[in-house]
Amino acid sequence: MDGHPVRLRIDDDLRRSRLLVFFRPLLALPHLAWLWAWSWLVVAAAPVGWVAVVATRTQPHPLHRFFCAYVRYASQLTAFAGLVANPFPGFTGAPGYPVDVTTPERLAQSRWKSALRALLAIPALLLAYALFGVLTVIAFLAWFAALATGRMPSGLRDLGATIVRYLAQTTAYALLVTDRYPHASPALPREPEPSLFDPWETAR
Amino acid sequence: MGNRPLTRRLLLGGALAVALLAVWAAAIASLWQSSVPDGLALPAVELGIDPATVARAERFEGFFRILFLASQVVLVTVLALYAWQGARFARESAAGRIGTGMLLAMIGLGLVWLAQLPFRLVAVWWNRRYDQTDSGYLETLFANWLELGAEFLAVCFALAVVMALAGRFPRRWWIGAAPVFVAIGAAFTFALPALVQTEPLRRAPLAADARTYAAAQGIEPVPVRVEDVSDFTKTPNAYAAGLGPTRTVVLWSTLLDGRFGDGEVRVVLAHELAHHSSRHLLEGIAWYALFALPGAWLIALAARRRGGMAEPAAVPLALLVLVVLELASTPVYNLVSRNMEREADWVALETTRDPDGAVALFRHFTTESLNDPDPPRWAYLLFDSHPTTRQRIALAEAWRGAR
Repeated sequence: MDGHPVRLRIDDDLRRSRLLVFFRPLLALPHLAWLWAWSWLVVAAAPVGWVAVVATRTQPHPLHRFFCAYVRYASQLTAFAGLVANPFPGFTGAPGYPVDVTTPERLAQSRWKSALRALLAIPALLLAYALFGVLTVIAFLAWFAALATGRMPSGLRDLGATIVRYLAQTTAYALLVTDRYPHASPALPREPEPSLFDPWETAR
Repeated sequence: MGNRPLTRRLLLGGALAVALLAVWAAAIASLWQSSVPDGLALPAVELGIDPATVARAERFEGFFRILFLASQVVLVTVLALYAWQGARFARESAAGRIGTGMLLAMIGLGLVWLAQLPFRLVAVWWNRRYDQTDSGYLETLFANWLELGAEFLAVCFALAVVMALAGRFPRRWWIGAAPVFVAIGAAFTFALPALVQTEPLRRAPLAADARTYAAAQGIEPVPVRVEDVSDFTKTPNAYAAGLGPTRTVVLWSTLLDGRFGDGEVRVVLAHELAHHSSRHLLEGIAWYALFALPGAWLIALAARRRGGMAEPAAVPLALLVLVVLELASTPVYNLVSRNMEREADWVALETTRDPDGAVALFRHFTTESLNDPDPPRWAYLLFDSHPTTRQRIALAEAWRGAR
């Protein structure tokens, strides 16, 4: 079975700056404001992308790039806010963040599955919503741990990273960046590229 | 021959600087105008307040003066250390130039918040000791996070503007940034009434008086609203907010809890309306504009030591310079504020024609808020944004004498 095209890359040494941890909710504020503004643009552009995919089977190239950047940015911000990663992320969704997701090339998609995407995405969105709650709990617990030790517990980081990945896959699916359904199970098949990271693999 | 263009440039630059200074001075002279009669002599007055209350107010405010001075010493020390070593936090950023600058600014603000926290808690303790608040320590701790969040957002926005401009115009960014900050200040003044949770004034007679006073001061009726502050203070207060269509007078609920009579509240209403009719909020923006340009220039000069404001490493130093400039300008700000408050007092007297009500109100402020009626001269110049209680009572008596 092929790996999901939205994959996780982790280059994080678990070190956390206590000062950044202490103020993390506040440091995330400008990013949340930026994500809010960006999300409105995405919501406005999503129907255009949907019509394009249903009509031509592919996203227009600029829209695909725009959605991919959004998926990466949202993942980086989620990782930062959830203490899954340490550094303050950039505002453009450029690749290279220590906890990052890869986004797929623009490929042809099934017209029917794309036409029904809003309905098909509902279960994944519900699960993503629940997992986001779990990530909030992880961030809350990790805040104390990282503040005390200056390090993120690896178990919490890995669980958080898995959730970041699921959220990214769900967003990418909902925005027709890919037609691969998000992996509901954390026990993912082995990723094909050596640079890719499966937190459950290392946790074992 | 070779020096002629240089001389010409120097002459032109000098002439421009002199012209700008002249415009600046003329603007200050114009803004300083007041409707209080020139040369009005304030009579010597008795405070008419129980000496024990005066002594209590002196102790109460005296402690806060020391606390404030100590907190400012700590603030400047922390920021100086941060200006020295803060650039190293750039390694905690995966963002670009502007994002890293934002991070450094937010860390600086966070450190300031941490350094000021003990002083805030001591202030709560002192206020509780003098029965000025029921607010708890934990409450104070968490309530301030919201305020801090708003500051973080504001500083990020301001830095995004400055660093973007500095990236494009490394030496002249401050010329463009100052108007942007003035515009932001004006927008904030305009929007403030919508940002504060208030309710309409439910006392019909007072609301009717406010309409009468607005007409007497030659302005359209201004909505009067009430802000419930009873959870964090017992101090009475009121303020004028908004510009044009958003003009509002806001009374704190502590002014309407039965401790102050209607006659006193009417003086407050007339005073706050006077801020609108005398266009003090617009003038405040104009004063800010006058100081924003030289302030931004000084920050730009200082930031050049760290490669200019386009570089994140300059942000901690710029933050220090900004705070020092703010501290240095506090006496000037207070001087301007006292001039406006004096004018508002005068217009209120002209409107209500009730000097007894005004005197009663000012005395009541001392007994209820523990305002030191006769602060030391240095403290008055440094800290007081309003005339002293004695000066305000004397102004009311001077108005009575002039009629």
